[in-house]
Amino acid sequence: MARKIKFDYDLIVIGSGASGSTVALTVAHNGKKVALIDGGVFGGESANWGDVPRTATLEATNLYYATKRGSRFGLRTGTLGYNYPALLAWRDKSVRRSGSADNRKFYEAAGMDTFVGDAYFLTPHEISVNRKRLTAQKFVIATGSHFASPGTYGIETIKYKTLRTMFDDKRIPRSLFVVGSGPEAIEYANILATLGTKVYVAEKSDHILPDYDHEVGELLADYYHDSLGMVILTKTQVAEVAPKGLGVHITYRRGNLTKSVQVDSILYTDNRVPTIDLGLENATVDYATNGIKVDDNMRTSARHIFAAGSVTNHSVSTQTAMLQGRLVAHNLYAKTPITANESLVPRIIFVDPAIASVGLTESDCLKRDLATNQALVPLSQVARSNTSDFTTGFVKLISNKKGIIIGGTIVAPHAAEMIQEVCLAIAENMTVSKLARMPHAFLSWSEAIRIAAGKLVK
Amino acid sequence: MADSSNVVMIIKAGKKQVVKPFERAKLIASIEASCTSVSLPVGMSRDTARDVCVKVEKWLSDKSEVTSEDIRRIAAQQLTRISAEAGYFYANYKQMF
Repeated sequence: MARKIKFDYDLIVIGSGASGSTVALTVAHNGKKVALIDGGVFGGESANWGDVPRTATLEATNLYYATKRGSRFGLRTGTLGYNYPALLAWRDKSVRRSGSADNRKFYEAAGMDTFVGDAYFLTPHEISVNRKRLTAQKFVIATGSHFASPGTYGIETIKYKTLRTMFDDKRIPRSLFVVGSGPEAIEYANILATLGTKVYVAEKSDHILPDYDHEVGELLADYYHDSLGMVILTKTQVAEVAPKGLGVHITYRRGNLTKSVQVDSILYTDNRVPTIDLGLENATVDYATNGIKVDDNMRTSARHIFAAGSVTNHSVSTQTAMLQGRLVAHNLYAKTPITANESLVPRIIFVDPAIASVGLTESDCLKRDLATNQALVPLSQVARSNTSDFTTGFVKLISNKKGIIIGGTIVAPHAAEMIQEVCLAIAENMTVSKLARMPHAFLSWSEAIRIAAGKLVK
Repeated sequence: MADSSNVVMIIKAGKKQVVKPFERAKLIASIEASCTSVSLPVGMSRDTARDVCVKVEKWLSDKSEVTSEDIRRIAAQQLTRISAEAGYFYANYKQMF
C-alpha cells in the first residue's frame, strides 16, 4: 500500500498581493496550515505603491483642483497652494494605515508562516526559497506582474519612471511624458498636471483610455487639455529617447509626422508583464507570454496548483484580483468549484470627474456582433449640474434587444459610487423600464442613470 | 534572493538527488560541443558558448537553486537565437543518442 506523503504545508501561496493575501487569509482562517511567500514587500502592489497611495494622492489633488475653482462659489482661493513633502507624507500615512502594507507580522498574526524570497518550483510539490525547501499539497501562484524594460531605442541611456517609481523623487518634475493612457497612466497624469507639471500623454490608439468607450477618451482629452493644460497625443508611438541635459529628449511619430519634445522625465505605463519565471516547467504548469493559463475555476494545468491575479492576465484590476482570490480560496477545498462573473466587476478611475464602467462596452458588443440599444445622457441634463456648476461627463447605458441592461459607463463626480447601481442592474438582469421606474433622489448625479434608462425604454 | 557572491546550486534529478554548484566551464563545454556537432566553426562555437553562458548567468543572478533541466532549457533558448540547429541539438541530444 502506498505511503501517504507528508507535506510541510497544506497550502503555499506565492505572492502576498490582492489575490494572494485574500487566498492565504481565507484558508488560514479555516484552519489549514498555510505558508505565504513574497519576494519583495508584503502586501503587494496595490497596498504599497499602487491603488492605496495613488488614490490617497488623488484625494488630495482632486480637492486642490476643486478648491482652486471655488472662486465662482464666492470662496477666496488666491493664496491656495500645496506642500509636496507633506503630500507625500499623507500618501505614506495612508499606506501605513492600510495594515497589510509592508507588514509581515499582519500575516503571521493571522496564523500563517511567512517567508521572504523568490520562490522557485523544483518539482510539482516542492519549491525553493533562498535554498530552503518547502513542500505543500496545494499551491496558489499570485506573483502578479512587473515592469519590463521598454523596447524603445535608446532606453538604456536614460532613467525612466514606472508606475512603481513615479514618486521616488522628492520634487515633482516640471514636465512629464507619459507613454500609454490606461487607467493608472491617466491617474498619474492627472495628479501631476494638477500640481503644475506640463504633462504629455502618448497613446497608440485613436483615443485615450482605449479599453473604455470612445466617448470617454474623446470627452476627457478635451477636458484635460482645457482644464489642466495636458497635451494629448493619440495615434502616437515613441520612436527614440536620449538624455539631454538633466532631462530626456523624446522623438515620437504621430501618423506620418515625426516630432520631438524635451521633458524632465518619461513615465512608461504600458510595459507590464506577468511574473512567471518560477520554474513553472518543473511544476508542469502551462503558461504563455501574457500569463499563466487557467481554466474557469482558476486551476492551472497542474491540478493541485491554482493561479490568480495579474499573473494570469497583466491587465487585471485589483478588485478582479480579489474576486479571483476569493474564488480560488473556495475552489481549493470545495467539492463543487465555482466560477466568477468578472463582467460584474466595475472598472474605476479615481480622477475628477471619476470614470467607471461595468459589463460590456460598445466595442465588446461590436466584437461579439450583439444587437444592442445605447443611450448617452450628458450631465448637463441633470439638475445637479446646475447646483454644482459642473457639466463635464455623461452616463451611457447599453441594453440588449430585450431591454436588459448589459453594460454601463459613467463619467461624473462620484462615478465610482454611482456605478454600483448599474452593477446591480446587470447582476439582476434588470430591464431598462424597471430601472427607469426606480425613484432617484432629486439633485443627485444618479438621476442621469434614470434618464438614460428612460431613453432606452420603447 | 541570490546575489552575485552567492553560488547557485544546481539540482540534478534522478533516483538520488544530487546538488552541485553551478559550473561555468561545464556549461561552456557542453554548448561548444553542440555547436561543433552541427559543424559550426571552432572559433564561432567557442564565442557562441561564452555568449550563451553569459546570458544563462544573467538569468541565474536572482536564483539560489535551479534544476539542471532549467539550465538546459534556458541555454537551449539562447543558443537557438544564434543557431537554430545547434539549439535543437543541445535541447534534444539525449533523445537523439
